[in-house]
Amino acid sequence: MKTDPRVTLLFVLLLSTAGVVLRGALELAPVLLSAMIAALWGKAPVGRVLRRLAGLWITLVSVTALQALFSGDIRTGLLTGAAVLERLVILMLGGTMLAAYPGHALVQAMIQLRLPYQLAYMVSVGLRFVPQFSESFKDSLTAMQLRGVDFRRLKMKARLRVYTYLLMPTIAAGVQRAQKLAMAMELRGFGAHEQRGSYAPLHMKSKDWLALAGVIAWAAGLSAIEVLWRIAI
Amino acid sequence: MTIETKNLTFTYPGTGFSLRGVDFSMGPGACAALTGSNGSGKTTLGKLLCGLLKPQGGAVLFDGEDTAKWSLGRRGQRIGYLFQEPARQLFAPTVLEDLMFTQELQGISPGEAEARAMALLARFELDSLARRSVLTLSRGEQQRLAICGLLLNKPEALVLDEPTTGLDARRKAILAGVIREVLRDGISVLLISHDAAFVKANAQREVRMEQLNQAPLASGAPDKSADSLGWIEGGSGEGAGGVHEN
Ligand SMILES: Nc1ncnc2c1ncn2[C@@H]1O[C@H](COP(=O)(O)OP(=O)(O)O)[C@@H](O)[C@H]1O
Ligand SMILES: [Mg+2]
Repeated sequence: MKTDPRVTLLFVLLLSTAGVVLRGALELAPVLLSAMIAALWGKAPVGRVLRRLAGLWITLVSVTALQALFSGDIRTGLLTGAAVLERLVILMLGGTMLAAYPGHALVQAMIQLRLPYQLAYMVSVGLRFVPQFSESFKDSLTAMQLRGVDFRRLKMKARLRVYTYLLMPTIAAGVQRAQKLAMAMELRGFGAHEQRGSYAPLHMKSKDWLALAGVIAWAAGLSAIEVLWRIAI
Repeated sequence: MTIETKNLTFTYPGTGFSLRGVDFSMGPGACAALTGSNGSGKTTLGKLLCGLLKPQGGAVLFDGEDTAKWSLGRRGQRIGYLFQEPARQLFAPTVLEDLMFTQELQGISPGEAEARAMALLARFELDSLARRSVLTLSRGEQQRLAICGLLLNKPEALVLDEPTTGLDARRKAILAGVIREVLRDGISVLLISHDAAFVKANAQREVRMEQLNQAPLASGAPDKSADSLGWIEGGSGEGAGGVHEN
Protein backbone atom coordinates (compact mmCIF):
# COMPACT_ATOMS: atom_id res chain seq x y z
CA MET A 1 0.00 0.00 0.00
CA LYS A 2 1.19 3.50 -0.82
CA THR A 3 2.03 6.24 1.65
CA ASP A 4 -0.82 8.63 2.43
CA PRO A 5 -0.93 11.16 -0.44
CA ARG A 6 -0.90 14.04 2.04
CA VAL A 7 2.57 13.06 3.21
CA THR A 8 3.75 12.74 -0.37
CA LEU A 9 2.23 16.11 -1.25
CA LEU A 10 4.10 17.74 1.63
CA PHE A 11 7.34 16.04 0.62
CA VAL A 12 7.02 17.07 -3.02
CA LEU A 13 6.19 20.62 -1.96
CA LEU A 14 9.33 20.82 0.20
CA LEU A 15 11.35 19.12 -2.51
CA SER A 16 10.35 21.56 -5.22
CA THR A 17 10.84 24.52 -2.87
CA ALA A 18 14.37 23.33 -2.17
CA GLY A 19 14.89 22.74 -5.88
CA VAL A 20 13.88 26.30 -6.70
CA VAL A 21 15.43 28.12 -3.73
CA LEU A 22 18.85 26.46 -3.69
CA ARG A 23 21.21 27.78 -6.35
CA GLY A 24 24.47 25.87 -6.61
CA ALA A 25 25.02 22.49 -8.21
CA LEU A 26 26.66 21.18 -5.02
CA GLU A 27 23.82 22.35 -2.77
CA LEU A 28 21.26 20.75 -5.06
CA ALA A 29 23.06 17.40 -5.11
CA PRO A 30 21.72 16.10 -1.75
CA VAL A 31 18.20 17.23 -2.70
CA LEU A 32 18.44 15.36 -5.98
CA LEU A 33 19.74 12.30 -4.17
CA SER A 34 16.86 12.27 -1.69
CA ALA A 35 14.37 12.79 -4.51
CA MET A 36 15.83 9.78 -6.31
CA ILE A 37 15.73 7.59 -3.22
CA ALA A 38 12.19 8.63 -2.32
CA ALA A 39 10.93 8.11 -5.86
CA LEU A 40 12.47 4.64 -6.09
CA TRP A 41 11.31 3.71 -2.59
CA GLY A 42 7.78 4.86 -3.38
CA LYS A 43 7.95 2.65 -6.49
CA ALA A 44 7.17 5.64 -8.72
CA PRO A 45 7.68 4.71 -12.39
CA VAL A 46 10.93 6.70 -12.61
CA GLY A 47 12.40 4.75 -15.50
CA ARG A 48 9.31 5.09 -17.63
CA VAL A 49 9.16 8.84 -17.13
CA LEU A 50 12.85 9.32 -17.87
CA ARG A 51 12.48 7.22 -21.02
CA ARG A 52 9.45 9.23 -22.09
CA LEU A 53 11.47 12.39 -21.72
CA ALA A 54 14.28 10.93 -23.82
CA GLY A 55 13.73 13.55 -26.50
CA LEU A 56 13.92 16.29 -23.91
CA TRP A 57 17.19 14.99 -22.51
CA ILE A 58 19.03 15.96 -25.66
CA THR A 59 17.70 19.50 -25.36
CA LEU A 60 18.64 19.61 -21.69
CA VAL A 61 22.20 18.50 -22.32
CA SER A 62 22.61 21.04 -25.13
CA VAL A 63 21.23 23.79 -22.89
CA THR A 64 23.79 22.78 -20.30
CA ALA A 65 26.55 22.91 -22.90
CA LEU A 66 25.42 26.35 -24.08
CA GLN A 67 25.28 27.64 -20.51
CA ALA A 68 28.82 26.43 -20.05
CA LEU A 69 29.95 28.05 -23.26
CA PHE A 70 28.41 31.45 -22.76
CA SER A 71 29.24 32.06 -19.13
CA GLY A 72 32.88 32.32 -20.15
CA ASP A 73 34.71 30.44 -17.45
CA ILE A 74 34.23 26.73 -18.18
CA ARG A 75 34.06 25.59 -14.56
CA THR A 76 31.32 28.03 -13.46
CA GLY A 77 29.56 27.39 -16.73
CA LEU A 78 29.47 23.66 -16.19
CA LEU A 79 28.30 24.12 -12.60
CA THR A 80 25.48 26.45 -13.68
CA GLY A 81 24.43 24.02 -16.38
CA ALA A 82 24.51 21.12 -13.95
CA ALA A 83 22.37 23.10 -11.50
CA VAL A 84 19.73 23.71 -14.19
CA LEU A 85 19.75 20.01 -15.02
CA GLU A 86 19.49 18.97 -11.37
CA ARG A 87 16.64 21.38 -10.75
CA LEU A 88 14.65 20.01 -13.67
CA VAL A 89 15.19 16.41 -12.64
CA ILE A 90 14.11 17.23 -9.07
CA LEU A 91 10.90 18.84 -10.30
CA MET A 92 10.25 15.96 -12.69
CA LEU A 93 10.77 13.37 -9.98
CA GLY A 94 8.39 15.27 -7.72
CA GLY A 95 5.78 15.23 -10.44
CA THR A 96 6.34 11.54 -11.03
CA MET A 97 5.80 10.72 -7.37
CA LEU A 98 2.44 12.51 -7.45
CA ALA A 99 1.51 10.95 -10.80
CA ALA A 100 1.80 7.53 -9.17
CA TYR A 101 -1.44 8.28 -7.28
CA PRO A 102 -4.84 8.19 -8.97
CA GLY A 103 -6.21 11.70 -9.53
CA HIS A 104 -9.05 11.40 -7.04
CA ALA A 105 -6.67 10.45 -4.22
CA LEU A 106 -4.73 13.68 -4.74
CA VAL A 107 -7.91 15.72 -4.80
CA GLN A 108 -9.06 14.01 -1.59
CA ALA A 109 -5.68 14.82 -0.02
CA MET A 110 -5.98 18.48 -1.00
CA ILE A 111 -9.51 18.65 0.39
CA GLN A 112 -8.45 17.14 3.69
CA LEU A 113 -5.51 19.55 3.83
CA ARG A 114 -8.28 22.17 3.84
CA LEU A 115 -7.55 23.59 0.42
CA PRO A 116 -10.67 25.19 -1.07
CA TYR A 117 -12.78 22.50 -2.72
CA GLN A 118 -13.11 24.54 -5.92
CA LEU A 119 -9.34 24.54 -6.32
CA ALA A 120 -9.01 20.82 -5.70
CA TYR A 121 -11.84 20.08 -8.09
CA MET A 122 -10.26 22.23 -10.76
CA VAL A 123 -7.05 20.19 -10.51
CA SER A 124 -8.96 16.94 -10.87
CA VAL A 125 -10.92 18.21 -13.86
CA GLY A 126 -7.68 19.38 -15.43
CA LEU A 127 -6.12 15.96 -15.00
CA ARG A 128 -9.12 14.29 -16.59
CA PHE A 129 -8.86 16.52 -19.67
CA VAL A 130 -5.26 15.55 -20.37
CA PRO A 131 -6.01 12.34 -22.37
CA GLN A 132 -8.65 14.12 -24.44
CA PHE A 133 -6.29 16.97 -25.18
CA SER A 134 -3.55 14.64 -26.22
CA GLU A 135 -5.85 12.68 -28.53
CA SER A 136 -7.24 15.82 -30.11
CA PHE A 137 -3.72 17.17 -30.58
CA LYS A 138 -2.48 13.92 -32.12
CA ASP A 139 -5.38 13.94 -34.58
CA SER A 140 -4.61 17.53 -35.55
CA LEU A 141 -0.94 16.72 -35.98
CA THR A 142 -1.67 13.86 -38.40
CA ALA A 143 -4.39 15.85 -40.17
CA MET A 144 -1.87 18.64 -40.78
CA GLN A 145 0.65 16.19 -42.24
CA LEU A 146 -2.02 14.50 -44.38
CA ARG A 147 -2.78 17.91 -45.83
CA GLY A 148 0.71 17.87 -47.21
CA VAL A 149 2.56 19.95 -44.61
CA ASP A 150 5.99 18.39 -44.06
CA PHE A 151 7.50 19.93 -40.92
CA ARG A 152 11.04 18.89 -41.70
CA ARG A 153 11.07 20.73 -45.02
CA LEU A 154 9.76 24.04 -43.66
CA LYS A 155 11.91 27.07 -42.91
CA MET A 156 11.95 28.31 -39.33
CA LYS A 157 9.45 31.13 -39.90
CA ALA A 158 6.95 28.90 -41.70
CA ARG A 159 7.41 26.22 -39.06
CA LEU A 160 6.50 28.65 -36.27
CA ARG A 161 3.39 29.66 -38.21
CA VAL A 162 2.38 26.01 -38.57
CA TYR A 163 2.91 25.40 -34.85
CA THR A 164 0.47 28.17 -33.92
CA TYR A 165 -2.04 26.74 -36.41
CA LEU A 166 -1.58 23.32 -34.83
CA LEU A 167 -2.47 24.55 -31.35
CA MET A 168 -5.64 26.29 -32.54
CA PRO A 169 -8.10 23.36 -32.72
CA THR A 170 -7.00 21.88 -29.40
CA ILE A 171 -7.23 25.19 -27.53
CA ALA A 172 -10.58 26.03 -29.13
CA ALA A 173 -11.97 22.61 -28.21
CA GLY A 174 -10.63 23.03 -24.67
CA VAL A 175 -12.33 26.37 -24.19
CA GLN A 176 -15.60 25.10 -25.61
CA ARG A 177 -15.47 22.00 -23.40
CA ALA A 178 -14.76 24.13 -20.34
CA GLN A 179 -17.75 26.34 -21.10
CA LYS A 180 -20.05 23.34 -21.39
CA LEU A 181 -18.68 21.80 -18.22
CA ALA A 182 -19.10 25.05 -16.29
CA MET A 183 -22.71 25.29 -17.39
CA ALA A 184 -23.44 21.67 -16.51
CA MET A 185 -21.87 22.16 -13.08
CA GLU A 186 -23.88 25.29 -12.38
CA LEU A 187 -27.06 23.44 -13.29
CA ARG A 188 -26.21 20.69 -10.86
CA GLY A 189 -25.70 23.22 -8.10
CA PHE A 190 -21.93 22.96 -7.72
CA GLY A 191 -20.89 24.64 -4.48
CA ALA A 192 -24.48 25.12 -3.30
CA HIS A 193 -23.92 23.30 -0.01
CA GLU A 194 -21.52 24.27 2.76
CA GLN A 195 -20.78 20.69 3.67
CA ARG A 196 -20.20 17.78 1.42
CA GLY A 197 -19.46 14.12 1.80
CA SER A 198 -16.49 12.14 0.58
CA TYR A 199 -16.68 8.64 -0.77
CA ALA A 200 -13.27 7.59 0.44
CA PRO A 201 -11.73 9.81 3.13
CA LEU A 202 -8.04 9.30 3.91
CA HIS A 203 -6.79 8.04 7.27
CA MET A 204 -3.21 8.28 8.51
CA LYS A 205 -1.80 4.91 9.59
CA SER A 206 1.21 4.47 11.84
CA LYS A 207 3.34 3.87 8.75
CA ASP A 208 2.19 7.22 7.35
CA TRP A 209 3.02 9.04 10.61
CA LEU A 210 6.46 7.44 10.40
CA ALA A 211 6.87 8.68 6.83
CA LEU A 212 5.75 12.17 7.94
CA ALA A 213 8.34 12.14 10.73
CA GLY A 214 10.92 11.10 8.15
CA VAL A 215 9.99 13.98 5.87
CA ILE A 216 10.21 16.49 8.74
CA ALA A 217 13.56 15.11 9.89
CA TRP A 218 14.83 15.25 6.31
CA ALA A 219 13.71 18.87 5.91
CA ALA A 220 15.27 19.85 9.24
CA GLY A 221 18.52 18.08 8.38
CA LEU A 222 18.70 19.70 4.98
CA SER A 223 18.06 23.16 6.43
CA ALA A 224 20.71 22.58 9.12
CA ILE A 225 23.30 21.57 6.53
CA GLU A 226 22.39 24.60 4.47
CA VAL A 227 22.76 26.99 7.43
CA LEU A 228 26.07 25.44 8.55
CA TRP A 229 27.36 25.66 4.98
CA ARG A 230 26.51 29.37 4.79
CA ILE A 231 28.27 29.99 8.16
CA ALA A 232 31.33 28.05 7.05
CA ILE A 233 31.60 30.19 3.91
CA MET B 1 -7.69 4.02 -56.98
CA THR B 2 -8.22 0.54 -55.59
CA ILE B 3 -7.82 0.33 -51.82
CA GLU B 4 -7.25 -3.06 -50.23
CA THR B 5 -6.27 -4.45 -46.88
CA LYS B 6 -4.65 -7.86 -46.59
CA ASN B 7 -4.98 -9.75 -43.31
CA LEU B 8 -4.84 -6.48 -41.39
CA THR B 9 -4.19 -6.67 -37.63
CA PHE B 10 -4.30 -3.92 -35.03
CA THR B 11 -4.66 -3.81 -31.23
CA TYR B 12 -4.98 -0.72 -29.02
CA PRO B 13 -2.52 -1.05 -26.14
CA GLY B 14 -4.86 0.88 -23.83
CA THR B 15 -8.10 -1.08 -24.11
CA GLY B 16 -6.99 -4.27 -25.84
CA PHE B 17 -9.59 -3.81 -28.57
CA SER B 18 -8.34 -5.52 -31.70
CA LEU B 19 -8.99 -5.97 -35.38
CA ARG B 20 -7.72 -9.23 -36.83
CA GLY B 21 -7.54 -10.68 -40.32
CA VAL B 22 -9.39 -7.81 -41.95
CA ASP B 23 -9.61 -8.24 -45.74
CA PHE B 24 -11.32 -5.28 -47.30
CA SER B 25 -11.29 -3.78 -50.75
CA MET B 26 -12.96 -1.00 -52.65
CA GLY B 27 -12.65 -0.07 -56.30
CA PRO B 28 -12.29 3.34 -57.92
CA GLY B 29 -15.04 5.86 -58.45
CA ALA B 30 -17.74 4.41 -56.22
CA CYS B 31 -19.24 5.04 -52.81
CA ALA B 32 -18.94 2.13 -50.39
CA ALA B 33 -20.38 2.20 -46.89
CA LEU B 34 -18.77 0.74 -43.77
CA THR B 35 -21.40 0.08 -41.15
CA GLY B 36 -21.48 -1.62 -37.76
CA SER B 37 -22.44 -1.01 -34.18
CA ASN B 38 -20.75 1.52 -31.90
CA GLY B 39 -17.29 0.41 -30.89
CA SER B 40 -17.04 -2.25 -33.59
CA GLY B 41 -13.88 -0.63 -34.97
CA LYS B 42 -15.10 1.39 -37.96
CA THR B 43 -13.09 4.46 -37.05
CA THR B 44 -10.08 2.27 -36.32
CA LEU B 45 -10.22 0.71 -39.79
CA GLY B 46 -10.71 4.13 -41.40
CA LYS B 47 -7.65 5.50 -39.58
CA LEU B 48 -5.61 2.44 -40.60
CA LEU B 49 -6.53 2.99 -44.27
CA CYS B 50 -5.33 6.58 -44.14
CA GLY B 51 -2.19 5.91 -42.12
CA LEU B 52 -3.35 7.66 -38.93
CA LEU B 53 -2.74 4.32 -37.22
CA LYS B 54 0.00 1.87 -38.14
CA PRO B 55 -1.04 -1.76 -38.74
CA GLN B 56 0.70 -4.29 -36.52
CA GLY B 57 0.29 -7.01 -39.12
CA GLY B 58 -0.88 -7.31 -42.71
CA ALA B 59 -0.89 -4.45 -45.16
CA VAL B 60 -2.84 -1.57 -46.65
CA LEU B 61 -2.44 -1.45 -50.44
CA PHE B 62 -3.17 1.45 -52.79
CA ASP B 63 -3.42 0.17 -56.37
CA GLY B 64 -1.59 -2.94 -55.25
CA GLU B 65 1.32 -1.04 -53.68
CA ASP B 66 2.10 -1.57 -49.98
CA THR B 67 1.82 1.80 -48.21
CA ALA B 68 3.67 0.80 -45.03
CA LYS B 69 6.70 3.00 -45.75
CA TRP B 70 4.77 5.99 -47.10
CA SER B 71 4.98 9.32 -45.32
CA LEU B 72 1.73 10.91 -44.18
CA GLY B 73 2.19 13.66 -46.74
CA ARG B 74 2.42 11.13 -49.56
CA ARG B 75 -0.72 9.34 -48.34
CA GLY B 76 -2.55 12.64 -48.12
CA GLN B 77 -1.94 13.14 -51.84
CA ARG B 78 -3.90 9.94 -52.54
CA ILE B 79 -6.53 9.72 -49.79
CA GLY B 80 -8.30 12.21 -47.53
CA TYR B 81 -9.77 11.55 -44.11
CA LEU B 82 -12.68 13.48 -42.64
CA PHE B 83 -12.57 13.18 -38.85
CA GLN B 84 -15.61 12.44 -36.76
CA GLU B 85 -14.71 15.81 -35.19
CA PRO B 86 -14.07 18.05 -38.21
CA ALA B 87 -12.95 20.91 -35.94
CA ARG B 88 -9.74 18.94 -35.35
CA GLN B 89 -8.66 19.46 -38.91
CA LEU B 90 -9.40 23.18 -39.21
CA PHE B 91 -6.40 25.27 -38.27
CA ALA B 92 -6.55 28.87 -39.43
CA PRO B 93 -8.66 31.65 -37.87
CA THR B 94 -10.78 32.27 -40.98
CA VAL B 95 -12.41 30.01 -43.56
CA LEU B 96 -10.46 31.37 -46.53
CA GLU B 97 -7.12 31.31 -44.70
CA ASP B 98 -7.65 27.67 -43.77
CA LEU B 99 -7.66 26.78 -47.45
CA MET B 100 -4.84 29.16 -48.34
CA PHE B 101 -2.08 28.45 -45.85
CA THR B 102 -1.24 24.92 -46.99
CA GLN B 103 -1.01 26.15 -50.56
CA GLU B 104 1.21 29.06 -49.56
CA LEU B 105 3.50 26.67 -47.68
CA GLN B 106 3.77 24.67 -50.88
CA GLY B 107 4.93 27.81 -52.69
CA ILE B 108 1.78 28.60 -54.65
CA SER B 109 1.34 32.36 -55.22
CA PRO B 110 -1.27 34.05 -52.98
CA GLY B 111 -3.35 35.08 -56.00
CA GLU B 112 -3.59 31.57 -57.37
CA ALA B 113 -4.12 30.07 -53.91
CA GLU B 114 -7.03 32.41 -53.27
CA ALA B 115 -8.59 31.69 -56.66
CA ARG B 116 -8.43 27.94 -56.05
CA ALA B 117 -9.79 28.31 -52.52
CA MET B 118 -12.68 30.50 -53.60
CA ALA B 119 -13.60 28.13 -56.42
CA LEU B 120 -13.80 25.24 -53.96
CA LEU B 121 -15.77 27.29 -51.44
CA ALA B 122 -18.27 28.29 -54.13
CA ARG B 123 -18.72 24.68 -55.18
CA PHE B 124 -19.66 23.69 -51.65
CA GLU B 125 -21.76 26.78 -50.90
CA LEU B 126 -19.31 28.25 -48.43
CA ASP B 127 -18.21 31.29 -50.44
CA SER B 128 -20.41 33.68 -48.46
CA LEU B 129 -18.58 32.52 -45.31
CA ALA B 130 -15.04 33.08 -46.62
CA ARG B 131 -14.16 35.74 -44.01
CA ARG B 132 -15.94 34.04 -41.09
CA SER B 133 -14.12 32.53 -38.15
CA VAL B 134 -13.95 28.74 -38.40
CA LEU B 135 -15.02 28.55 -34.74
CA THR B 136 -18.45 30.03 -35.45
CA LEU B 137 -19.29 27.62 -38.27
CA SER B 138 -22.02 25.04 -37.79
CA ARG B 139 -21.02 21.39 -37.78
CA GLY B 140 -22.16 20.86 -41.36
CA GLU B 141 -20.19 23.90 -42.52
CA GLN B 142 -17.10 22.72 -40.67
CA GLN B 143 -17.41 19.36 -42.43
CA ARG B 144 -17.70 20.91 -45.84
CA LEU B 145 -14.74 23.20 -45.16
CA ALA B 146 -12.68 20.22 -43.98
CA ILE B 147 -13.62 18.35 -47.18
CA CYS B 148 -12.51 21.38 -49.23
CA GLY B 149 -9.16 21.22 -47.41
CA LEU B 150 -8.83 17.56 -48.35
CA LEU B 151 -9.79 18.19 -51.99
CA LEU B 152 -6.99 20.77 -52.41
CA ASN B 153 -4.64 17.78 -52.51
CA LYS B 154 -6.62 16.25 -55.40
CA PRO B 155 -6.94 12.87 -53.66
CA GLU B 156 -8.32 9.77 -55.37
CA ALA B 157 -10.37 8.65 -52.38
CA LEU B 158 -12.04 10.12 -49.30
CA VAL B 159 -12.88 8.41 -46.01
CA LEU B 160 -15.78 10.16 -44.26
CA ASP B 161 -16.14 9.14 -40.62
CA GLU B 162 -19.77 9.39 -39.41
CA PRO B 163 -20.43 12.53 -41.45
CA THR B 164 -24.18 12.59 -40.71
CA THR B 165 -23.78 12.92 -36.93
CA GLY B 166 -25.55 16.02 -35.71
CA LEU B 167 -26.98 17.01 -39.11
CA ASP B 168 -30.69 17.64 -39.66
CA ALA B 169 -32.55 16.38 -42.75
CA ARG B 170 -31.69 19.44 -44.84
CA ARG B 171 -27.98 19.35 -43.92
CA LYS B 172 -27.95 15.64 -44.74
CA ALA B 173 -29.34 16.42 -48.18
CA ILE B 174 -26.55 18.99 -48.66
CA LEU B 175 -23.99 16.36 -47.56
CA ALA B 176 -25.45 13.88 -50.06
CA GLY B 177 -24.95 16.53 -52.71
CA VAL B 178 -21.33 16.96 -51.63
CA ILE B 179 -20.77 13.21 -51.93
CA ARG B 180 -22.26 13.16 -55.44
CA GLU B 181 -20.09 16.13 -56.38
CA VAL B 182 -16.98 14.34 -55.15
CA LEU B 183 -17.90 11.13 -56.96
CA ARG B 184 -18.37 13.13 -60.18
CA ASP B 185 -14.68 14.07 -59.95
CA GLY B 186 -13.86 10.35 -60.02
CA ILE B 187 -12.95 10.34 -56.32
CA SER B 188 -14.12 7.21 -54.51
CA VAL B 189 -15.77 7.56 -51.11
CA LEU B 190 -15.76 5.28 -48.09
CA LEU B 191 -18.76 6.31 -46.01
CA ILE B 192 -18.47 5.22 -42.37
CA SER B 193 -21.93 5.49 -40.92
CA HIS B 194 -24.70 3.74 -39.07
CA ASP B 195 -27.35 5.95 -40.58
CA ALA B 196 -29.14 3.17 -42.50
CA ALA B 197 -31.31 5.45 -44.63
CA PHE B 198 -28.40 7.69 -45.60
CA VAL B 199 -26.26 4.66 -46.49
CA LYS B 200 -29.03 3.15 -48.57
CA ALA B 201 -29.55 6.37 -50.50
CA ASN B 202 -25.90 7.19 -51.14
CA ALA B 203 -23.76 4.05 -51.19
CA GLN B 204 -23.61 1.43 -53.89
CA ARG B 205 -22.24 -1.21 -51.54
CA GLU B 206 -22.36 -1.88 -47.80
CA VAL B 207 -19.80 -3.77 -45.71
CA ARG B 208 -20.44 -4.61 -42.07
CA MET B 209 -17.52 -4.25 -39.68
CA GLU B 210 -18.62 -7.30 -37.72
CA GLN B 211 -18.14 -9.42 -40.85
CA LEU B 212 -14.69 -8.03 -41.60
CA ASN B 213 -13.20 -8.47 -38.14
CA GLN B 214 -12.06 -12.02 -37.36
CA ALA B 215 -11.08 -11.20 -33.75
CA PRO B 216 -13.29 -12.74 -31.06
CA LEU B 217 -15.28 -10.02 -29.29
CA ALA B 218 -13.32 -8.87 -26.23
CA SER B 219 -15.42 -9.34 -23.12
CA GLY B 220 -14.81 -6.45 -20.77
CA ALA B 221 -11.27 -5.12 -20.84
CA PRO B 222 -9.72 -4.75 -17.37
CA ASP B 223 -11.22 -1.70 -15.67
CA LYS B 224 -8.42 0.63 -14.66
CA SER B 225 -10.54 2.88 -12.45
CA ALA B 226 -11.59 0.02 -10.20
CA ASP B 227 -7.95 -1.01 -9.99
CA SER B 228 -6.80 2.42 -8.87
CA LEU B 229 -9.49 2.59 -6.19
CA GLY B 230 -8.14 -0.63 -4.70
CA TRP B 231 -5.50 0.85 -2.43
CA ILE B 232 -7.79 3.54 -1.06
CA GLU B 233 -10.39 1.01 0.02
CA GLY B 234 -7.76 -0.74 2.09
CA GLY B 235 -6.84 2.62 3.63
CA SER B 236 -10.29 3.83 4.58
CA GLY B 237 -12.53 0.81 5.09
CA GLU B 238 -14.89 1.66 7.89
CA GLY B 239 -14.54 5.43 7.46
CA ALA B 240 -16.16 5.75 4.04
CA GLY B 241 -18.69 8.53 3.84
CA GLY B 242 -17.11 10.98 6.28
CA VAL B 243 -18.06 14.62 6.18
CA HIS B 244 -15.71 17.56 5.98
CA GLU B 245 -16.02 21.30 5.61
CA ASN B 246 -16.29 22.59 2.08
N1 LIG C 1 -7.21 5.61 -28.77
C1 LIG C 1 -7.77 4.47 -28.31
N2 LIG C 1 -7.12 3.74 -27.37
C2 LIG C 1 -7.65 2.61 -26.90
N3 LIG C 1 -8.82 2.09 -27.30
C3 LIG C 1 -9.51 2.75 -28.25
C4 LIG C 1 -9.02 3.98 -28.80
N4 LIG C 1 -9.91 4.42 -29.72
C5 LIG C 1 -10.91 3.50 -29.73
N5 LIG C 1 -10.67 2.50 -28.86
C6 LIG C 1 -11.53 1.33 -28.62
O1 LIG C 1 -11.61 0.57 -29.79
C7 LIG C 1 -12.94 0.15 -30.03
C8 LIG C 1 -13.38 0.53 -31.43
O2 LIG C 1 -13.45 1.93 -31.52
P1 LIG C 1 -13.85 2.68 -32.84
O3 LIG C 1 -12.98 2.20 -33.97
O4 LIG C 1 -13.84 4.12 -32.55
O5 LIG C 1 -15.35 2.15 -33.07
P2 LIG C 1 -16.50 2.76 -33.95
O6 LIG C 1 -15.94 3.85 -34.78
O7 LIG C 1 -16.99 1.59 -34.77
O8 LIG C 1 -17.57 3.22 -33.01
C9 LIG C 1 -13.80 0.74 -28.94
O9 LIG C 1 -14.10 -0.28 -28.02
C10 LIG C 1 -12.94 1.79 -28.30
O10 LIG C 1 -13.14 1.83 -26.90
MG1 LIG D 1 -16.30 5.87 -34.84
